[in-house]
Amino acid sequence: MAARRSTGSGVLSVLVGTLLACAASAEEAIRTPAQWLEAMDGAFRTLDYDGVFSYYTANHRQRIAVAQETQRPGQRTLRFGSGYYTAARLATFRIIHKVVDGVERERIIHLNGPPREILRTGDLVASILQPGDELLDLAGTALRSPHARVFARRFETAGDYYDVAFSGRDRVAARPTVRIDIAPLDAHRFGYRLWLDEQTGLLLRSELRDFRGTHLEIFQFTSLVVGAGVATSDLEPADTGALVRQITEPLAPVAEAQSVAHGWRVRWLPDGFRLAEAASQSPLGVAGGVRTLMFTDGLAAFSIFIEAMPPTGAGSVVSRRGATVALTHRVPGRRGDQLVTVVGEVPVATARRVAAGVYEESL
Amino acid sequence: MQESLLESLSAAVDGEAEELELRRVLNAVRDDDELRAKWARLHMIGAAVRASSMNNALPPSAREVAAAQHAPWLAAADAAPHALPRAGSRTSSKWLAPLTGIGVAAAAALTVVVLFGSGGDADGTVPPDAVAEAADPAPASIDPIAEREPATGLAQMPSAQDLRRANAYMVHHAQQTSLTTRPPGMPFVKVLSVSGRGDIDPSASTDGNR
Repeated sequence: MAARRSTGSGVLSVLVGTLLACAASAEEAIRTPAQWLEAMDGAFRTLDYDGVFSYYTANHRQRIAVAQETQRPGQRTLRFGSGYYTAARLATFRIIHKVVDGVERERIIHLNGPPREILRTGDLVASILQPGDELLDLAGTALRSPHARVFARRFETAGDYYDVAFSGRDRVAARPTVRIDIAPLDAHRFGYRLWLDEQTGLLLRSELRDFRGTHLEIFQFTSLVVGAGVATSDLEPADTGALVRQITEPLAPVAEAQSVAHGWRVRWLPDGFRLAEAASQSPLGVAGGVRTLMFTDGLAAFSIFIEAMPPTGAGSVVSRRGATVALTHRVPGRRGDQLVTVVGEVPVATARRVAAGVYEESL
Repeated sequence: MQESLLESLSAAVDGEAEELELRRVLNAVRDDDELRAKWARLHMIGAAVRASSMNNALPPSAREVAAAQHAPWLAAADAAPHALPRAGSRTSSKWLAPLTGIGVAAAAALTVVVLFGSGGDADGTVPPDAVAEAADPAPASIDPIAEREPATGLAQMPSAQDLRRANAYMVHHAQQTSLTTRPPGMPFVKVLSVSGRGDIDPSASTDGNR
């Protein structure tokens, strides 16, 4: 930091600048971008930290007209339903993470709106919600538990589909960072820019952008304590008479994903996406159950949900929130038409193409 | 049809387009009958959603396009800002005012994008269950969706149940990926951010930052 104080002669500035550049490249040389990402991965799991971060999700102006035309003699009528934009959102969270007796514990507190928390102890996750919280209801009708942790984020395999490079240094939450750009090599995935704490490797800021460079999501710590200052007592949930709902169970042994793909396949996948998980479940209210397939390229992931077409039919949905899209498609199956929903962090066009290519084997 | 062009067109109708984007759209609309028809439809839908008059929903004339290209209205716009009816609507477009004459003003609330959570958003541009009806003054066949939405084999109008199902799957996907991806907590954050009908929007106080 001697450089900051050197405001002397031009020669000195140049000299110091050169030295700084050498120091910077030397530091970067200690780790390649990929190694920085691995360091980040490890840091998040092994370090104790307590911080506040903001999370921004872009609004979308995607044109999903939901309109119906009806014709009467001499008059044509348009009906419009459910018309609204997604708004950009900025929410704030506190995260406390600590390894206690060799077990990772984590508490994420939603600081805006209705009090909500998520507690994680190892692989066990519980959400703490207030009575009447809509999330309780939503998740209750959703599928209950993840089945197998089949993949971990694998930056090395992602390397074939993204260009990973240093893009400079910066400062976030008053901490010096190295910046790493992860640029997609095709149009089927989004790009990332990451700011990693030079000292610990923790991710302090990330941006997720589409191919036009539009920010879809921004995550950023505004304050962060690392190490001894993190109190175990802060891992305990607030006692506010809230409901605790278990959303996961201890993970079952990893099943061979392909073997439980239950006959459903996709004709087309973006390059690099591999099947990470397949499951068949019976959530409440879904006759015949729901088959799920999850694919990842090591960074991005999308899930496919397949269920029998509800008796009342279904409408075409295209929902986007930040980088996440959900859209629906109808495909034929051996037991009648099926409703396919694709959800994931991929461009809409990619998700749509995936959805349209879902088919049942031997049909 | 080029997706980005359609998006730009929609943006232009909504008053969100940047100048270059707008010029591109206007040029394309001038040269393309299909786009002209779409332009009219977008305006009309917007107008209908707002239960406004659709009489002015016409494609831009060549003169208007030419005028736009010379952009005299960029200056004029500030002098005659167009008041949009809702705070949540875009108000910043510099080009909005001059195009008011061709119905742009009415079209700020065209789309339906389903929010995470089935019940509208903080800016509540249109209530989720609102159904607006409007007589169709356009002679052309009207199918606002077909071009945008390739055949999905599904009804065009999603029901509340459809939206709810999609939301539930979004939550599930977020839960799944939170256990399998790093940094931890990021997808959980998405779960926590869910909002929906009858709920206090968890991020309402900071929503709509445009």
